[in-house]
Amino acid sequence: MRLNAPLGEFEVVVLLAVLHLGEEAFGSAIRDEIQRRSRRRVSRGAVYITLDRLEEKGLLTSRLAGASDSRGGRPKRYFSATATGLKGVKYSVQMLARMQEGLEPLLGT
Amino acid sequence: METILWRILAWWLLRSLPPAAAAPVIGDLLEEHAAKRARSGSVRAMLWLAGESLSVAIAYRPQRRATARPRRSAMDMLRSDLLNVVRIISIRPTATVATAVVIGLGIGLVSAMFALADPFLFRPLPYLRPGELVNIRISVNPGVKPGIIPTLADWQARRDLFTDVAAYTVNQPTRLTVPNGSIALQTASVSSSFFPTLGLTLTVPSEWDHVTGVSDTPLVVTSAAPPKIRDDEQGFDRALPRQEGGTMWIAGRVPSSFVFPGTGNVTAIGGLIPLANQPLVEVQEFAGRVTSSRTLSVLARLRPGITPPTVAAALSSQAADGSGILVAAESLALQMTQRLRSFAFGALAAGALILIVCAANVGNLLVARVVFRTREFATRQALGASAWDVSRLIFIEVGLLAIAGVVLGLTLTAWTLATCDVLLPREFAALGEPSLTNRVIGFACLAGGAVMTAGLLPAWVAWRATPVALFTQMARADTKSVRALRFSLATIQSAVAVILLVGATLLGRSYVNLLQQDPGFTSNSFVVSVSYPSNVVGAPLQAHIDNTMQQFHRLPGVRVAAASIGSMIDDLRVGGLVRFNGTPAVVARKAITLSYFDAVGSRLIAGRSFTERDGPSTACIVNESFARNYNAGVSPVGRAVAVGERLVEIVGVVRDTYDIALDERPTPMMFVRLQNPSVSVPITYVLSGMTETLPSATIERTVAAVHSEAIVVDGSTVRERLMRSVRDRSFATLMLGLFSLAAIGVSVAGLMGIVMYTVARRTREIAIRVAIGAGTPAIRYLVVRDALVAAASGAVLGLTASVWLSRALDSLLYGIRPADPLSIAIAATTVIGIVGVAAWLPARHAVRLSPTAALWID
Repeated sequence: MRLNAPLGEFEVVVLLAVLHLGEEAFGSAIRDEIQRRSRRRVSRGAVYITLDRLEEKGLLTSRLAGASDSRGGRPKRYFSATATGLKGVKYSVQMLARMQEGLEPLLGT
Repeated sequence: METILWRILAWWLLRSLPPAAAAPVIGDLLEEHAAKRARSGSVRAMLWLAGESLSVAIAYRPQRRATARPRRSAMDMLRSDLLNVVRIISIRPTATVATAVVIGLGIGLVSAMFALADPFLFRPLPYLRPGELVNIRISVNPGVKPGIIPTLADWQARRDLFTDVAAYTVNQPTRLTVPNGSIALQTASVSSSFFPTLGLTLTVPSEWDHVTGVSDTPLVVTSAAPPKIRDDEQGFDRALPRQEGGTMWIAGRVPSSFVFPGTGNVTAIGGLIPLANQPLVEVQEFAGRVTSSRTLSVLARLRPGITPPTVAAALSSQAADGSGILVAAESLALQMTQRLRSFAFGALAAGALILIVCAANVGNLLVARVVFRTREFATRQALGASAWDVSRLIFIEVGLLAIAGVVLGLTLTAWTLATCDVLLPREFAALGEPSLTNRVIGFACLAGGAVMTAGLLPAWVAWRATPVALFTQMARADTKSVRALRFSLATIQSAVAVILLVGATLLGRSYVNLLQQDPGFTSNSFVVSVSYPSNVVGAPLQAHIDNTMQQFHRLPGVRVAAASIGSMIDDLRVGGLVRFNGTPAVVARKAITLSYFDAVGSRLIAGRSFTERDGPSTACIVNESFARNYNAGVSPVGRAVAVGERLVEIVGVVRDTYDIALDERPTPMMFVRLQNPSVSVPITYVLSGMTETLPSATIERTVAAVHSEAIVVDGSTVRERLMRSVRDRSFATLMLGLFSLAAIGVSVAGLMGIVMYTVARRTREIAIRVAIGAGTPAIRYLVVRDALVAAASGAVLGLTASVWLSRALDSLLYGIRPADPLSIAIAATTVIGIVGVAAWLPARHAVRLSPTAALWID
């Protein structure tokens, strides 16, 4: 599947968090992962709606599982990146790397 | 608090988020909230939860707006909803028709009860500011004659108590010669203040309070007057000769809406004439003691702040020797409605009970209906319908049911009122007959609204479960709370049905007791009351009586004809004080011809009957009650009764007869021979032996053949008079009977609903049980258990309440106690029997279920 539009910054962050979490990527865990790694507060609503949008674009898939009493009988929605999603992340990260080339002394990296 | 907040937030999230996303998000929040609460306490956790939920809802808002459907106009929505509801109703019309019938039945009977109670409780009397009017009754202390007897002028001078005071008395009918014959006119003598006291703007002649004698008596005509003068518009100033002497002339007419302010037979008063200036009380003495007194009725309009007890205290007087007058004042509205006021309250209470049963049933049916439609509601929501869209369908369906119920109910009300028209007690003639007035229609609409509001509550309880079903793929809608609610409703209606049935059984048995009561008369004897001109008395009247009896005797089928003066199952009470065994005795008196006992079928139990030699002042016959009350039950034949100065010998004793009314126990009575009566009173002829009722034309022709000015006042059989005397009881019995039947009908519908619902809900389970070998009794028990337990609980509740509530019927019971065990047993057995049938009928479907078909369907 070909990506129709470039990914936004937060979309890339969310996709990366999903990749980091692997099999345990569900709403709350993804948000915690982003907050931990990015060291900034992230709105829960922004995470969920971004996950929905990425699934709509075909970059993520989801499945329902893991309902428990502590969740009032509601299932967890586990996300995983599709091949297109992985390709999209790669593209975005490589694009950033290319843009960074030659700016190392200035950026201190 | 935490739970409520969570429910609100969950509801909000369900509304804000796409259906597929909502459940996992809510799950995440719940899980994190639990951890948060363990770490930071419940308050912080609640604040956190609210903030997080807000964040999610706000994030999804633009998306929701973008996907929202275009708004439809209200009319489009209504049209589409109506079409939807009609389609749903047409799929299962039986349930809808049953619901509408239950509502119609309830509203119809309750509205009928309201229409019957309306004249007594809500309709204002047709007078100016009726709340200020009081009726004042005067009585004289027995014994010494009071020293001061007040006059109307004395009381009119009490400006501290009254703004207006009037006096009146009801007269014997007056006979008037009019251009086309003669008429009997029932009149009342009233003071001139009578008209302003009631707020009538009628101008009466200035000499009204000073008219003496019988010449040129002014007459104010009411709508109850015979048509010959009521409709005679040219009749003003024309002198109308009175057959007893003198003349009357029409001085005015009161409006057709005028109602005479009193109780009893006042509706027959067709003319108002001046009241001679006289004391308010006339006392008759015997041996220096007051024997009887005749008082005027007084009507007064109270000053603001004055109450009836104040008036009674201010006007009563009591001397040291015990003489004096006792004054009792009572609101006119209370007095005019007194006799049937408790009935009216009872009717409204019964109506309220029916309304409760009806509301319970509607609730029951709607709960079942909504639970059945869970799948439909879930599908609608899955296809994008909002909670409001779904609830609108329920509201519209309920509204249509309410409209159908009110229309059906008002039709039933009209039919009920027309049916009981012939049984209406006489007060309705004065206060206005019940009809479908705007107030009754308004009440029916209110009752419809109330029933449907009560019905919406359980519908909401059941419907609340549908969003959950959306996520759990249905099936949880039939929760324990819903089932408990349905069980409670069935119990309540069963209890109400039992209460009404116990009441109806008590009244029914009481009525049967009355009908089985031997009145002492031959019930098919024919009674004719005839009024003669007042100047026809003594020997001429006796000659007319004898001739009339002969004429009657010649009519085909008449075996015996007799005549009497005195009560013959009517309101006429003739009697007085006599002395027997040296002590005063109160007796009813009746003057009779020789053949009287033969004509009425009364049996002599001691002594002999009258002979030609007996005269009214030499011989008398008494009844059993006389012997029982005044002679210790021993036959008093041969002893004498002192009537004034004369001693009258008792020559015989007859069996008791119910001369006043079928439900009024016989009192001591004394019969004398009817011989040359000295006063003109209506003569009662009794004819026996006929197999068919005499036509009224034949009776009038026979009476007129003897005396052209004689007027037939009434002609009816003894049976008709007896039934007329217990009209109130018949009416009350019929009403309560109808109500209890309706309540049972409504209740049975509800219980059948429970069983049918159980069968439908457990079809799969029943099929499996049958498949693995469950027997018919086990299956039947399975489906009727809920209904039977509900009915039995209701029966126990109802019977307990009945023991206490049935005391209210005490005054209407005859020969039976309020907590009569047999009546309660009959009611309980009937309810159990009917409930058994109601449960058994739908249970047959469960027994006949084919497992294969049932499992395939489910």
